[in-house]
This record gives sequence, C-alpha cells and structure tokens, in this order.
Amino acid sequence: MYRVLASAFLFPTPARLAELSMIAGELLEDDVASRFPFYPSWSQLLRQLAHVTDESLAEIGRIYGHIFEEGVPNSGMVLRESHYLAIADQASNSVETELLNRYINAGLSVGAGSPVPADHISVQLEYLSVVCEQEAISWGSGDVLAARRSARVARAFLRKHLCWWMSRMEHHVTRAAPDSWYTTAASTVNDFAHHERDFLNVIIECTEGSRVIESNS
Amino acid sequence: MAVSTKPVAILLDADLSRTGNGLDLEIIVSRLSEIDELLEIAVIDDLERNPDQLSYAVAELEPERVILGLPGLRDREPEIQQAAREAGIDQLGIWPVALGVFSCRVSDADERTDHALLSLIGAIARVRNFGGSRQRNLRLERTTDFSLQTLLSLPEIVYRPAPTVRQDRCYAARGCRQCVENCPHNALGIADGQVRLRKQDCASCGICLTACPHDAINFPSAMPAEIHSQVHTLLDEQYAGADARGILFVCPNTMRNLARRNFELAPGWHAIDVPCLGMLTAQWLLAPLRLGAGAVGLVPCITDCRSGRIDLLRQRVSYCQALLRDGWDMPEAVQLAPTGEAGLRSFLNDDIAFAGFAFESEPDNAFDYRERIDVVMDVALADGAGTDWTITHPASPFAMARTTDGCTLCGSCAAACPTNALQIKGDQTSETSLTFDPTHCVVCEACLPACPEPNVLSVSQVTDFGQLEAGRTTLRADTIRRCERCGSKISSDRMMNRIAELLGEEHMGTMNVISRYCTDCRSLAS
Repeated sequence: MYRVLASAFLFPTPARLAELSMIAGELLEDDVASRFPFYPSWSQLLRQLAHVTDESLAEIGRIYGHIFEEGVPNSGMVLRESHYLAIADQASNSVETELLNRYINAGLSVGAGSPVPADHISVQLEYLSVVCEQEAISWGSGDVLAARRSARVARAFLRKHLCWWMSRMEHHVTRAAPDSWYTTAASTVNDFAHHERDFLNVIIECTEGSRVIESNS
Repeated sequence: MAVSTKPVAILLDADLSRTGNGLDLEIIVSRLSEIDELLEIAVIDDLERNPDQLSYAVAELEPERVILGLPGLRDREPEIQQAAREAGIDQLGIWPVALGVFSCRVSDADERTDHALLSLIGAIARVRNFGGSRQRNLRLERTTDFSLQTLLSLPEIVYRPAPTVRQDRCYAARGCRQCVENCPHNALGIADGQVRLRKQDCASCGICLTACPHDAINFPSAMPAEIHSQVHTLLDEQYAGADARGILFVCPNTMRNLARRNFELAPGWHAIDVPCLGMLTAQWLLAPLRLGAGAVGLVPCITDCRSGRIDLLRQRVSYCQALLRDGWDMPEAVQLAPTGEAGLRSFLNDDIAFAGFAFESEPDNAFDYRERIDVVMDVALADGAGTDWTITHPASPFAMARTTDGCTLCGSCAAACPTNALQIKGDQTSETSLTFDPTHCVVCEACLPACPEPNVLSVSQVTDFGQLEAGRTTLRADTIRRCERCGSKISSDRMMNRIAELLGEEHMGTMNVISRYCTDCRSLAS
C-alpha cells in the first residue's frame, strides 16, 4: 500500500500510471484491506487507477499541475512537509536533514542528486514501506524485539511527520480540486497513516513484556 | 432541525417473524414504504448469523446509511463493519436495532408491529443525522488477544467511535478541564495547551461529549442531534399516536445482555442506545420529558461496566426526581431500573403511568448543551409553578457562587473561571463589580482554589430557578481607586483596605504611595 500511494504522488507519466493501473487491478482482487476503515477510499482509488485511459492521462497531468504546482513559489512544494511547517510558523530548515538521517539509519541509500526531496510525501511513504517490510520480516522470523523496534520507528515517524502534515495536505488538495483523483489519494493516505499509527499503538502495547502470547503456547 | 434526505436501507432479518411472539414483516415493510419513499427495504434470511449477505444487499440498494432489524445482537460487529466497508458505506453508519429483545416481546400482535415500526422509524431519524466518521474518530478494539500468529494473519478488530476535539471551540487554553476531569478512563490529557486523546485508553463511553460546556467534542453516532432526532421521532404523535411513551436509555453492553434473556415488555417503552449511561447528564435525562415522554427509564450495566459511573448516575437520577417531585409531584417519571432479574422484569413490564406534558413549542435540539437551562426549567416549571424555589442537591448541574465581605474584587476567581460565569466588570467606570451568571457555571469549582482569601468564596450545588431566570447578577461591587496622576485603575477600595490591613501601621508610608498611584506612576511620584 505504501508503495502504491508513494507512486501516486510522483509526476503522472504515462509509464508510471500504466504500471499503477496494472497493480491496482491486481490489488482489487485482494480483499484484506476491507478489514480496515480506510478501505472505502482505498478501493475507490484502486478502481479509479485500474480504469485509467489514454484520455484521462492528460487530465490527470493537468490536475497534478493545478494542485501541486500552480500558485506556490517553488514547484511541488505542496507535496512537501516543509511547506506546511513554514505555514505553521515552525522551523522547516532542519526537517530534510533529520529525514535523511532517518533514511540512512534504516539502511536506505540516499543519492545527493535525487530529484525528489527527502520531505516529499512519496519519499516519506517509501521510507515507511521499508520499515514496514523490516517489521514484517522480523515478525515472520520470530524476532519479536526487532519487530517491535521497527514498529516503534514507524509509529514515531507517523506521529512526528506524516500524520501531522497529511491532514493539512488533504485539506489543500480537497480545496484545490474537490472531486479529483488526487483528493481520493490524499484522503486515503491521511486515513491510512492515522490508522497505521493507531494500529501500531495497539501492536506495541500488546507485545510488550509478558503480554505477547507466543503462537505455539 | 433540518430534515436529512439521505437514502437509507432497512434490512430485516427474516427470523424476526419467528423470534419471541413474532413480527409481521409484511405489514412492517408495507407501512415503512408508505411513510418514506426514500427507503429501500429488504427482508433477508439469516442476516444476523451471516452478515456477509449485507454487502450484497447494500451493493444492490446503494444507500448511504443502513439499519439492520435483528432478532438479537450477536457479537458480529467486526463482520458487520467489514461488510459496510466493502459496500462503500461508513462503518458507523450501519445501525443495528434489536427488535427481538424489545418489539418481539410485546404480547399484543398489533402493538408488537407498531412497536417495531416505530423503533425503525426512530432509527431512520437517527442515522440520517449521523454526520459520518473518519479515522480520527475511530479507535481499534481487539476482540481477542493478539498472538504472534494472529499478528501475521491480522487479528479481528472492531472499530468504535472516539472523540475528537474542535480546537477552535475548546477552552483548554483558558483552563477548562471538564472533559479531562470527567473522563473515567484517563484517556484525555492536556499537551501544549490542547486536549489530547490517548486512544488506547479510550472506552468510547461518550462522557466527554456531555461534559464539555463548549460543544467542542465530536463523537460520531451519539451526537446530541442524532439522539434528539431519534427521541423526537419516537414521541411524534404522527407515528407514535397519543398513548404514553417512555424512553429507555440502554448501553450496548446491557442491550446485548437483555438480548440474551427473554423479557416481556410494556409496549410504551422505546430503547435509545447510548455509549454509556454515565454520559447522561440531568439535561439528557429530562430532555425526553421536554419532548413529550411520559417516563424516562435507565437500564444500567448489570456487569462489566467499565466506566464505573453508577453512583454518579444514581445521584443524577435522584436530582431529577427531586426536581420532578417538587415541580409536579411525579418523581417516578425518571427511574433507574433495578438490576435484579425480577425487579428488571417488573420494571420493563409496567405501563407508563404518566402521559407527559404538552409544550407549545419544541426546542431545536433538547440534547444540545446550550439548551440545558431551558430544558431543565421547562420541565421543572411545566405545571405552571413559579421560579421562587430551589433544589439543593449534590448532583445539581447548576450552582450558586457567593462571596463574603472579605472579597476584595481582585478578579482571581473570574480569571480562573473557564466559562465566564464569574466576571469582573467596570474597568472604565467609577465602580467595579464581581458578577456571577449561574447559567454559565458548570460547577467545576476552578474558582475556589484561585481565591487568595480564606473562606471568602463558596460554591453551593443548588438549582435556584429564580437566579437561573435572572441570569447575571452582581455578587460584590465597590468603588474603583484611580491613580491621582494618570487616572488609570489601581484597584477596588476593598483591595486597598485589605493591603493596608496586611501591611500594618508600620508601612503606612508605602501604603500611602500604593493607594494613590498606579504601578507606572509610582516611581515618578516618588
């Protein structure tokens, strides 16, 4: 999910949308997400993605430019955390450094010449997908300590970053293009991020100390 | 109140025709169709046992809200919520009505059908006023313990409503702590001057919603407008006829308990489920009477009440009974049901004794906090009684503040008051006064520790109808001492006298300067 959502906020090239459309078609077959409250917006997003046509490609590109690039001094700023930090009068200059540090600690290679800045929504979602994968591998191998550590890292990141500014970004997108595909995408990320934070809270609480019940007990 | 036209589907479990004394579903479907053309109605076999059918039915009918008429309330919430999501509707916008436990147990066949019909019409009104939920308004509740295995295969989770705070309305920055202090689960706290919820500790009891005097809490599925519309509809003569009706407040926990046991029910009772009876304030207990109910009953948790508010609830019921006894000699119009089996059966079986009062006009929302004064006063004075009486009671939602002669009008109490019940007035005049408005007071007593003088300010839990009608009155007034040099306010005469008393005769020189000049001018004067 993190990866699909990350890709959805990169510039909508025909190749990228075609790939997303194919993945969306496959994900629609899987109903695991229906167990969670973000499912209605998630499934709506997938349905819209699965039915992207050549005609709608140009329209998506136009809306992308309208929402994320028009009326903002630096192109693409609306998709970055520092934009909302600046609006909220909070220091925004250190956020990129802090994020780069986090990414490197998670084992990600960060290229200095990357066209997408570290506080961009897509990079933050991609980072969370890596942490989530590490957590899943740890649970799978029975390494409870490592899994819990990954869960804590993801929760802290969601609390400090994505959950904080996604509400603001969703508000911006909804106002700029109320019925667009990007409104569904922003709303999905917002709901998903908040759910993930709540879900991690429960998992961390339940697996602390003696409260974790081993599967073979 | 605006009438919503959201498309609603009603799905009835076919088993209802065989539960208890049985319902005539054909009549119910036909009457519902006559009443509301926007309804989509379907009777489905095994709906309660097999909620998967829900998503197919909903996909076909495409409603925004769904009401399930079920024989009981089996623990199928995770599946029902999942079915709602799959059908693309809000998971809290799907509302189960336990027709089996109530309607099916009415012995008379016609009354049974009327009862079920009215319960469904009430539920329609409620869900049409449901404003929707987002992830912020939901919290996860595990239905089983997590294990490593369930973590990998995803554990079963049910989502419950959780409160959110509208920061633009919240008075936390001004010191209001009503929601925080009333939360029985310590789930609310203050951080950076704002109220914060720790969802893991929240029990979705809704107590914060009714404790907030500023309408700052959003709690989907139990908002005042939702409850008002349901109660109002259940009492509407258009649907309910002229017979006496009683409103029975029940929490979901008790509803499930009742569903497992067979109760005969007097047809006048109609159940309103609220997250926890602990959220019911005196206003909420009296609001149905204001809307025309003949009785209000409360069925408390028999076991497992997590909020532990039964003693407070008893006190609130006792307050309402005192008000009803003194007002119109009908204390039993609000009653807490006995918890014992025999007592509860008898309580639910009793006919509603009182037909209720008729009022000329109706409040827009009798459950809205802003209506609390009108609701309590309207009910108390319904028989034409004057306002020259009081009720002193530990659960009185109103209080009277008093000051003794020692009050210096320093304003500390007013500064601490989060609702502006206490105010200092008169900066620009020759007189200053401490005023008190009992209609604003929420009996939080934040003023008491703020007063620097011992035994000067007191707050008594008394409902004084005369004072409530009068509104703001002056507790103390005094002449303002002004700076001889610039004319700005120094303080009240009383304050000057108190400082002189504290300083004593050996500091008369200092006192002479303090009492004549403001802080800015003192250095210039010396």
